[in-house]
Amino acid sequence: MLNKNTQNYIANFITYTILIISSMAVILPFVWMIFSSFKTAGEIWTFPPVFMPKKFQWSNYIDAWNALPFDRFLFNSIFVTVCVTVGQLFTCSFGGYAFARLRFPGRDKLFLMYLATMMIPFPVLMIPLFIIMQSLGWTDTLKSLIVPCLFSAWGTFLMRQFMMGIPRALEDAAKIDGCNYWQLYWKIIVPQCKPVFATLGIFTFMGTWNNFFWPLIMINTIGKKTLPLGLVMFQTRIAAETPWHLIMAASCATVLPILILFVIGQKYYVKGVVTSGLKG
Amino acid sequence: MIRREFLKKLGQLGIGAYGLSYLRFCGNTEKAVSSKLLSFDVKYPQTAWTMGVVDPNITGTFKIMSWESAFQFEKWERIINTFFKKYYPNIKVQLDWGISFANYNTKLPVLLAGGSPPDLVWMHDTRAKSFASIDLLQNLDPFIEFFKPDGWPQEYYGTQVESFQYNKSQYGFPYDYATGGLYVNLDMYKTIDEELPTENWTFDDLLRVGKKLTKGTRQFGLNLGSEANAGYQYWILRSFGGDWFNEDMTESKFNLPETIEAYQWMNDLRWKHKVAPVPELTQGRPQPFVDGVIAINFDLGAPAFGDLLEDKFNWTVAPTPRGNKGRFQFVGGSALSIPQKAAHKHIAYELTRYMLSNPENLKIIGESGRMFVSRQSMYEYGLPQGKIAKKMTSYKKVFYDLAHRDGVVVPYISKYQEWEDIYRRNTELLYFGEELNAKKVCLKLHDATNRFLESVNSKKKV
Repeated sequence: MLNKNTQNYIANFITYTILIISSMAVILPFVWMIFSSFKTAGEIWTFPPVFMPKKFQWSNYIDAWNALPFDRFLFNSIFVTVCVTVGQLFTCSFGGYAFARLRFPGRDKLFLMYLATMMIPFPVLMIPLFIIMQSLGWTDTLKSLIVPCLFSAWGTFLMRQFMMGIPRALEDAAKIDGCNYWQLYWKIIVPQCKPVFATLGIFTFMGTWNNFFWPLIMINTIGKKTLPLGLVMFQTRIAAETPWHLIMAASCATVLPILILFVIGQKYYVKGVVTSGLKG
Repeated sequence: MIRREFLKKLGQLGIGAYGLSYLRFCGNTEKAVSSKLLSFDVKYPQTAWTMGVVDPNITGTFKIMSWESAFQFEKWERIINTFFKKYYPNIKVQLDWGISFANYNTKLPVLLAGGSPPDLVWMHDTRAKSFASIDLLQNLDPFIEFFKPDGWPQEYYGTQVESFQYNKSQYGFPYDYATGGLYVNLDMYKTIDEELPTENWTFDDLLRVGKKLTKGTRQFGLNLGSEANAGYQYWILRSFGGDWFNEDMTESKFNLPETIEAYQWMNDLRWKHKVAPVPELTQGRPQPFVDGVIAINFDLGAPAFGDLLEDKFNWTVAPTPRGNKGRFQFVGGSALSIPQKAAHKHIAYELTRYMLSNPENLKIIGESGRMFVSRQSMYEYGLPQGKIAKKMTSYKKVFYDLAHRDGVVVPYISKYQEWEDIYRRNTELLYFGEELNAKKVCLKLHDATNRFLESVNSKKKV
């Protein structure tokens, strides 16, 4: 019979081994990307694949950065992502508040209808949405990437569910003290909703940052492209001609700011995911 | 503001916004109809490259969409800028390039269907008829008739001109000439006592050599045509006397014994003779020839391999074989097309003509693009240069002379993508070895193809 310490030791060993292996599976593609960014075009295609480049090609970074305006792509991505994230936090919390707290005719039916929009796949909405953007004269503008994404049925649902759990007594007390609807929202509800704001913020940020399909349709000029669009600009029709080493270099360089942001905000990210009970 | 008032205002705002967007839609519909009308009134001075139909001082935005990547579009941009600077200096040019081929083919239909297409688009031969058949592309015949490009059509590749025709009208102006050939690993080849393949070799000759060159699962003799691209297999079945469809594209020919024989031959390479790699060995290995696993590999004539090989081994190019019904060689390519609802059709045609028939521009495109350009007389600019040219001494013969003589147009019917899905679903059974009898697959594909053609043709009649 093993003593308690040994049992703990074995259990920890197994747990950590599984965790390390799982982490490796997640980290390996990133490490692969970093090493590939220093390879030559020929080394990328070598089979069996080699992990380390024969000679580190630092010039890949310079070549990639000089070939396309990645600083502009980065700025556009940050601008769009921040606008959409902040905007969605406002609209979804407003919507969530209305659906959770205000009483008006047809509220629940309206909410169900709003929720039902989540069931419509994006390709179905794409052409009508494109025509709307076109009729507003917004094609090839960053507005077209921001405005349609400011509203989210999923975000509203998340907010509503969270707000329904806030005790009504808090609002009643504020009403007695003379708060109007805006003050109720801003001074009572919002401070209670920090965890769900963090969750929605994180998921919206990630979704918008990685959004490829809608910007692909809407954006035509190079100066308005976002990072995901910029990265594929190296791809050619004939796979062998695609400079993957430069794509890797550009990916590494552009992933850095978001990685730093993640490291800084890691605490909030984990907290947000745990609070909402959602898995990332 | 009380709640009821707030909700009322909100409702009014919503109705207002809807009304505004409706009015804008009306405006667009009108514009779309008028853009269909073509006029060739010469009101301004003509030049060698402009018709004199459009005011040279016109203002506006001219939109171009291309799948060319960061390094490939440079040459086109240079020519486009020169054209507009000289002939339409007040036009602002909007270039949308660097869209990968797959994404391009997602974006283009949305723009075409949305009624706001670019003025000039890159078009692939696999898609041209599909777009032309639903009236999304402009028929170029009136333009060609009014302002004929130098040497049209005799100086252009017949197969390419034909590839972009629908109902005998031209819907694309070809810009390149991509042909297929064999890449041979000479280091592997010198270990067997054989001459290099010639255009007079038969498929049996190739198989015999393939067997000699195969060493278990370490080295494979042959890799002919990719299963991902049906067009790459078409030349083989034509060489056997088979075909996909009858001449007027109304019936399948997958039940022909010759078609079945061709697919059986291709499948036996992998599963019976084991001279071609099985899918597990090629998946995740995008360039098996570059990796030194394949001795003889079919691919297009773009000398891109040269950059990847980096003197890993000695290699060269050789012609594809002939079948008992003759010799057929894969040819394909791309073109420039004008969408039906383009805002500046005349300028789009003038620019196309300037880019693709002007020898000075073709020289730039050929040299920096390493491809055969639209005019046959300019072929030399598409030949490999420098160190790589020495490896491919017979490049011109393989990818130009023989292709010119034996090139066969792949029958890319309208709705080809839909049909290719059916094709792939069936032929995958052979590819993955789930079915070894090509006859069974071909007969199934024959029925499915006939059903497909029937539905397409009945819609056409309606």
